[in-house]
Amino acid sequence: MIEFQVDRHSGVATYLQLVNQVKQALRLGVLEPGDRLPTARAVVEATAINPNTVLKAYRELEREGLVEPRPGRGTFVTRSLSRPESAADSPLRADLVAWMRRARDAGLDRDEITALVEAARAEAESDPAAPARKDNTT
Amino acid sequence: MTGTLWLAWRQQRLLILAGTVLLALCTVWVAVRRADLMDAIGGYDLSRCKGWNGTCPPEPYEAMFDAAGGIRLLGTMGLLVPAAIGMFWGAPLIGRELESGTIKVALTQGAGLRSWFAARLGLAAVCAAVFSAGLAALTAWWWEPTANMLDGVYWHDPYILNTTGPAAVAAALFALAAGTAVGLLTRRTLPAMGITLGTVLATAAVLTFFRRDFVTPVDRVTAGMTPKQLIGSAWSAGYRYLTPDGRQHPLENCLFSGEELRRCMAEKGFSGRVHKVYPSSDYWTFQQIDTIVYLVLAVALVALTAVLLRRRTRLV
Amino acid sequence: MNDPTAAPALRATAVEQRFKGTTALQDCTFDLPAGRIAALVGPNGAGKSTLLHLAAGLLRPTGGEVRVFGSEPGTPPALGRTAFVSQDRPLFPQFTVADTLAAGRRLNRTWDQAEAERIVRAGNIPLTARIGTLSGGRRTRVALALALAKRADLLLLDEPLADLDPLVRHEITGLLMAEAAERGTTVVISSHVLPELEDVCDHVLLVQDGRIRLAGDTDDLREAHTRLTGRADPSTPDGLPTAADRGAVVHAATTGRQLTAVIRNAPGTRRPAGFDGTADTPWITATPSLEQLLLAHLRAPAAAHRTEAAA
Repeated sequence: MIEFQVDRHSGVATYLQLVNQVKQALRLGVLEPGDRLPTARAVVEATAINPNTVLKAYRELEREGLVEPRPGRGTFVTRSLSRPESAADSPLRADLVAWMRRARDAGLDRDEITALVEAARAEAESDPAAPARKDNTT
Repeated sequence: MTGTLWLAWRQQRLLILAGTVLLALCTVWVAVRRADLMDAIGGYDLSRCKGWNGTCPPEPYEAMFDAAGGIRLLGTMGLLVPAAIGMFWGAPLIGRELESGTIKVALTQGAGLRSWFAARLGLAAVCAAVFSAGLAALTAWWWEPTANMLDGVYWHDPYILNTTGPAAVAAALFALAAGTAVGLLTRRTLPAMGITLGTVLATAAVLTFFRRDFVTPVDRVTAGMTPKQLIGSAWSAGYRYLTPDGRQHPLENCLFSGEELRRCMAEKGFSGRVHKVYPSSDYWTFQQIDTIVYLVLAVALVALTAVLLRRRTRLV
Repeated sequence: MNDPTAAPALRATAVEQRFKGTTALQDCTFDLPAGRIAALVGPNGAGKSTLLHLAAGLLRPTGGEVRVFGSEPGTPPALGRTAFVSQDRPLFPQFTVADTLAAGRRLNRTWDQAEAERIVRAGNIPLTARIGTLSGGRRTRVALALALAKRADLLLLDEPLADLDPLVRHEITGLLMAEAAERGTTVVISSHVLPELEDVCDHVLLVQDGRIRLAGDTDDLREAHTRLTGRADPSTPDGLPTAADRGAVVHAATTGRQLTAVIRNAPGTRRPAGFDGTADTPWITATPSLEQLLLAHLRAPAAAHRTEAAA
């Protein structure tokens, strides 16, 4: 099960916050295919938001093919977003952790590390040899 | 209806309890005092005690005098009971609900206004009727063995006329209706209580002073200087002089007695004297007047209250 | 809820309410479709409570008519479907909490005793406590329990959150939303603090000076307006471009060279007319937030008052 957190001052539309939290839970493996999402009633009772906002978020997730409503039973996860490559014991992740340590030892602060990562990603993505990311297959 | 009746009972139960306790205390007190009275007058022929000028055996006299004090006290209570019902039962019936805003709770439940008002006023009216009838019956019961005797309590005294019979019950219902209506109009309990007290006492006073105007007294004519008939248990309504043509003249024409009176009457040509009286049977006539006036007023006030409530004019 | 022919949960038609010479409401016309959660907002004394009292059947309008699911408020069909919590939370002070709930049970055809007791217990209020001894927040909770356990289709709540601490406010709002999610209950919540309702409501009724200034779906209303920021036009006294349709301007203010405005979009478009901008005077446009939209309307000069409705 997933517990939603709504931040009223984030500037992000509330339904998008719910969508993003479900996606994150799918990436982290907190939610797996076959799991049931909490009912709109349970979500609004915990978060004190409008029920239509929850329904809108679930519709968006359904549109993206991540969940599917089964009448009378609830909304169920149909697809996972977690990749073995990003799991805690994956070699890619270990490499990145090691690189982060080196960057810190080299005296870079948090913002500088982030800027470096963004720059490296932009450089990699502009490389025509790189395969296009397939994230939102519908 | 059962829901609103439960609510009415739950809100009025303290008043009902208080009324029951008071009536029970009065019953015990009256039963004891009346038993004493009956002991004291038992075995005596009291028929000669009737009326102001009766000749009564001296032995029961003291007991009758004693009882008269108690009956007057009970009668005073009886006079105040309608005012008390109006103030403590009628005025808060809607007034307090408006003051505290709880009428908003009551009237937004499923039961609705009509049922709420009917249950509330109905329960209060039944209780007011039962308590006032109980007290009226006690008063009549205690008074009856020595009714209209010597200088005791007479049927036309307010202690009896206003506090016994159907008129006493009607007065209580009127007071309740008046308190209820005033509570709705003032929207506050305390001022409503004051206005109700004034209204109830003023109405009783007006009736007491003016109801005789609606009843024609009986003329007791005595020719010339023949001594007038003893008043007995009748209620005197004054004297007149009579001329042979049958016309009556005010008493002020000859304010004398004895020989002077004879001369005055001869001078003015008066042939006899008239004593205007209400016989004790007029008790029921006066009761009828009071009952009708009180009930008509009560119905009018309840109708006014119902119309104002229906229009929702002063609820918020 | 989805039947377009069904009577709206609340309908006001040309409603006017006068009290002894003062006019509390006038010219009030709006529909609140069933299943909505409506924020009834406006400054203090704008007429919010009067409107709720009319809907609850505690007032009869001096003009026009109010209907609750097609019935006249205060009549048995309307009473059975409406629950009202007034601002002062009146409850019988001599009653215990249990008595209060018993009154609700006996006076209503539908009643959920378990729900009522659950709400009361969640606030640690003993059922044997006398209402007169409860704090303001606890009284609010009992009043809400009384209203929610009735299982009404239209909940009318006058400033229900005003005397609750933030935690309880969150809990109670959650409770109301859960009720709405489960039963499709229409909820009207009045408040003069809009932000506490921004995530809650999907419909808004803005009242000002006794008139309905805005009524409709929050997203539709927002998308019917544009918020503009840019360089004020120095050639006009109000800083707006000459071509701008001034009748569509809800509120505009200039600070130095900067102009900020909330403007109604031209019919059928997502932009206001006359604000096309040029290369050297571009406009930054955005859909206003609900709060920005309502503030713009509240700040608009009184002469521009006009009811706006979006379905």
